Amino acid sequence: MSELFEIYRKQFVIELAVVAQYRVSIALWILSLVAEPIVYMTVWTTITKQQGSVGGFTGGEFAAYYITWMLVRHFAVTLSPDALEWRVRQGEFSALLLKPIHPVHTDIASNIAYKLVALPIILAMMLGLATIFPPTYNFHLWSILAFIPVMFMAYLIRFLSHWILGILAFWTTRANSIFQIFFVSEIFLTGRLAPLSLLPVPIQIVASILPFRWMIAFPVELLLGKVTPEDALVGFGMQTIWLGLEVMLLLLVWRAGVKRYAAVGA
Amino acid sequence: MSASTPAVRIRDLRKTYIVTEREAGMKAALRSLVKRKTREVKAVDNISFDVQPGEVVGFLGPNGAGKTTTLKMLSGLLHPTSGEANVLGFTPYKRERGFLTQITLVMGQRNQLVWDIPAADSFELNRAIYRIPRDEFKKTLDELVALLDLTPLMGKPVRNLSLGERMKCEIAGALLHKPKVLFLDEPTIGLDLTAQRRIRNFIKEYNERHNATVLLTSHYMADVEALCKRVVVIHHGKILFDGDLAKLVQRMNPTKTIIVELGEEGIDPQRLSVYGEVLGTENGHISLRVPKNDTARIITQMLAELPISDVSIEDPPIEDAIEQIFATPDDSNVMKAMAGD
Repeated sequence: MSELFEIYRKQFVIELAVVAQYRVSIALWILSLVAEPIVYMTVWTTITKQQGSVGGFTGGEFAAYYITWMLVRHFAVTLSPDALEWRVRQGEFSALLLKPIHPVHTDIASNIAYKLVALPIILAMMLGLATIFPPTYNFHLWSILAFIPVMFMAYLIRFLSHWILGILAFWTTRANSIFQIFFVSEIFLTGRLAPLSLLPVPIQIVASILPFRWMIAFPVELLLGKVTPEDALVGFGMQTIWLGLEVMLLLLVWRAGVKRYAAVGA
Repeated sequence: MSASTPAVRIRDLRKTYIVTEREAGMKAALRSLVKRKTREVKAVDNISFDVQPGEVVGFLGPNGAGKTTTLKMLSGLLHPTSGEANVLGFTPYKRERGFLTQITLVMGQRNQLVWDIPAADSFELNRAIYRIPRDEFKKTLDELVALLDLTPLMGKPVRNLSLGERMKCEIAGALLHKPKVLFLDEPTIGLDLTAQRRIRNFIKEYNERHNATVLLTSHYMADVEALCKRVVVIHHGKILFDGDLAKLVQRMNPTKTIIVELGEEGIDPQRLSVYGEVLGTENGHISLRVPKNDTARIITQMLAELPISDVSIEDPPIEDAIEQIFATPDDSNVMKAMAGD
């Protein structure tokens, strides 16, 4: 375990050095991401100004929701399945397969490093948005503390979902269509377009049975103080189940996929 | 593993790919929507050979012959379609830790180092991944730095290195864990002559110091001549020859080159065509290709009939022999030519 930690530490230092070289382009890319929550906040605050509140959300609570959503989304950013598909197509898995460590570790370490480098920019943007759209927060100390493991689990669930999707490219050249179906589902089922509690009950049930709610909506709701301690435990349990299932699925899919790897071009 | 156990053992190894095919044009495109036409391509077709510990073997063949596919199967990147591959007692495709820490695959111009940072940082990451103790790592790195002259390169981002410099760093990175078996796929491709020689010398030195087993592919015959006593020739996925390099050359090209310097000026070199095939004239030296078995007789005759001031005999270039193998359209003819001894 300590050896794995050492590998993560080394990989992390390397990735910090790499992303630091691209800090300007990363900053510009993150700035472009602010457009989406601004649109949602503008729409919802306009509606709440006319109606008072929507589904129990006031204008300030919508602002708090999307400002928190920005942070959670940043923590939940993963390696795109397209990047994995590219590796399969171009034979770029070869160098990783020759190393005596599963490639997923390299990707997780590099992904976490990116998040930390970009975090100050995200925090600055959150502050900026909070001045334009004043949020209403009902923080609880326990939920802030619980947010840390919940967010980490949420990240791993989303990361592994995308990783598993990416390695479908071992089987089909049309993996991209499957990614698109998944991404569209994410828009509705992770609380991106609207908080899940505003969606019809059947959709909420689907989001809770599948991994979607546990990837983004759940940590957002937790940090906003909208989850009871009992529900937080149930949520954490669901996250544990999904993470366990994904780890098993990853091992199975990876083992079968690597057999089909053609290592072309490498 | 005992000294007599081969480091690499291959038996009836096969790798086939199913490729889809269609003709150009709209009609063919529409047809392919309904029914896809596929074809089986035999990249490696039932090959068998052993490589003993400490042996350096040249694995030769034209592009698409199956060399790289074989190396990828031996390093665990590809699953064989059938047959058996065994490296140091391991089945490569299982990619067990014990296997991966004892082998390396270097593919020419393929970047395994992190592009944006100095190679030294990538080496540190390899230290952690391969769990190399610090003292041992330092000792090996110092040795590699000295052998490959890496000192001025260590602090530069990899993207700022020349092709040759990058290749040297790639090789160092691939050997930090002191692998016992090296699969080298075109390690000198695209390099200038000095860099080629440096890498060639390094491979030789590494093999001698560590008794490492090396399976090497190269299109540069200088690499093969300098490093490999034994060669395995593969063509269309099949092994055509496995044996001594000198024997291969003799068998495929049983000729000698006689180089003479004439004591008188004004003699037309074509006059010498009665003795053998005139290959060319350079600085007053005329080269003739003659059948190997007739060499002594022809030289005696030339010395008697021509005003020769100097004479020497050379073996034909190895490139000629290899070229002759691959230029032969029918494998069976080549096999016949190389069969029996």
